[in-house]
Amino acid sequence: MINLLKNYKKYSDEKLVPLVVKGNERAFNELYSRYEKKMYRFFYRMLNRDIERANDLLQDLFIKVIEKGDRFDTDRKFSTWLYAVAGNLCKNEYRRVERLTNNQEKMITDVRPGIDNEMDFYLPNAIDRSLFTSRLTDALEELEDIHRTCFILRYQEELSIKEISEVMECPEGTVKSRLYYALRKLSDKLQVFRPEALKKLNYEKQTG
Amino acid sequence: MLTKSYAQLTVAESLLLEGKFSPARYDATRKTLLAATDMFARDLPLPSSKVKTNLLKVLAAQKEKSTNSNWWSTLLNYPVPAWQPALGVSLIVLYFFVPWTGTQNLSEQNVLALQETDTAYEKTRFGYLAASVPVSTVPIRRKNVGPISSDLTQKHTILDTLQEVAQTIQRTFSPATDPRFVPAMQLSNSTFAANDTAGVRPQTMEQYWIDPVHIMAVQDQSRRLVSF
Repeated sequence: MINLLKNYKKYSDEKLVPLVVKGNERAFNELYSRYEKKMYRFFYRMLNRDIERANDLLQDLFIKVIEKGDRFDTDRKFSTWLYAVAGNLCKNEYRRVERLTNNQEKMITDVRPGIDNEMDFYLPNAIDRSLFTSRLTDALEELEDIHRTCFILRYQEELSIKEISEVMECPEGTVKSRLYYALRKLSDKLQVFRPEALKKLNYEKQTG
Repeated sequence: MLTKSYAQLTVAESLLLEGKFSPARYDATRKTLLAATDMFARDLPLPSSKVKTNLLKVLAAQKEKSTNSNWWSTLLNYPVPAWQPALGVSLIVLYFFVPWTGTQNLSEQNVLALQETDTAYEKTRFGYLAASVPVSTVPIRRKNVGPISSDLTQKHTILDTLQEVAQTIQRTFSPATDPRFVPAMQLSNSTFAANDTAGVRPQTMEQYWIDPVHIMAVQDQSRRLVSF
């Protein structure tokens, strides 16, 4: 009866984990709702947008939380710990599965058409934006794992430099240098999408 | 970089980038970053609902497993706030070492009685027994110290028990020739009565006991008080 009256929405992640380990369903529902989308998106990006593998790893991740959550140090931040476990699952997956290198056809068919926003300045029309998205995804896949992980954690998951350094167990300076390297690599590969280049492309199209 | 173009940077920021990023490079990198964050914001896949269903089955199994574990291990591992055992220890220490009203042991009571007396003592010997007995020289009594109440004389505290045990052990392991443990002589009531100046009646003799500092022998059963 007392269990039903408790409002788990007010509980911190660190307080929910011990309850989940004991099999408390309501605590698990709350914790899962907070992290299911984030972690699924993380796996989706890290695994070359493989929906099935992303679902599998999401399930494996939360099974680890349920069965081995008692090993979690409640003095640490739960999200940092969760991303670290997810990163290790991705590394194991890379070792196990052969990485796909030619995904352009798959990427183009999966990409949704663009929406009007400030990107119109850089990519005037929807087709260019969808092409850009697919090229960006390819370029991300071509990065090394550590650079890609840093990039996704920073710009998709919006973790701070300090949190990323805890997840990846490296100094903050190392995180910054990896982010810088990733950005440079991506911008080199996506040079064709610069406005100057696009203007040139449009001119060439018009003149035949 | 996400919020400012190269043209919008301050002088300090431009100087910081000098040598690392050319203006063209800076703008190209910034546009890539903006495009990436835009893509991340728009591309929001959702997980399958089957994942949660499977996880709930695992959770049910985990719950059954945790319920079956030994209840006593749960009890032993139950977290107890530090102040609770600290309070318990403090109470035990206070009970045994702080003098509460009415439980003062005989030794302390006797010391107080001695301090209030107006009787002078002299050391004397009765056979093997040495004792301090009052001297009949002080005519005026400032205080009349009455006999100690029976409940105090009969009260046997833990300290007294410990004393007796220690003495028993000493007697057991000390050589028979040790003069401290020669059996005491029975003192007669008249010995005390003749030297009493505090008006203690003879029938209270049984409540006397000899100051242990001066005792040469130990009497097993009774204690005699030399206090006024």
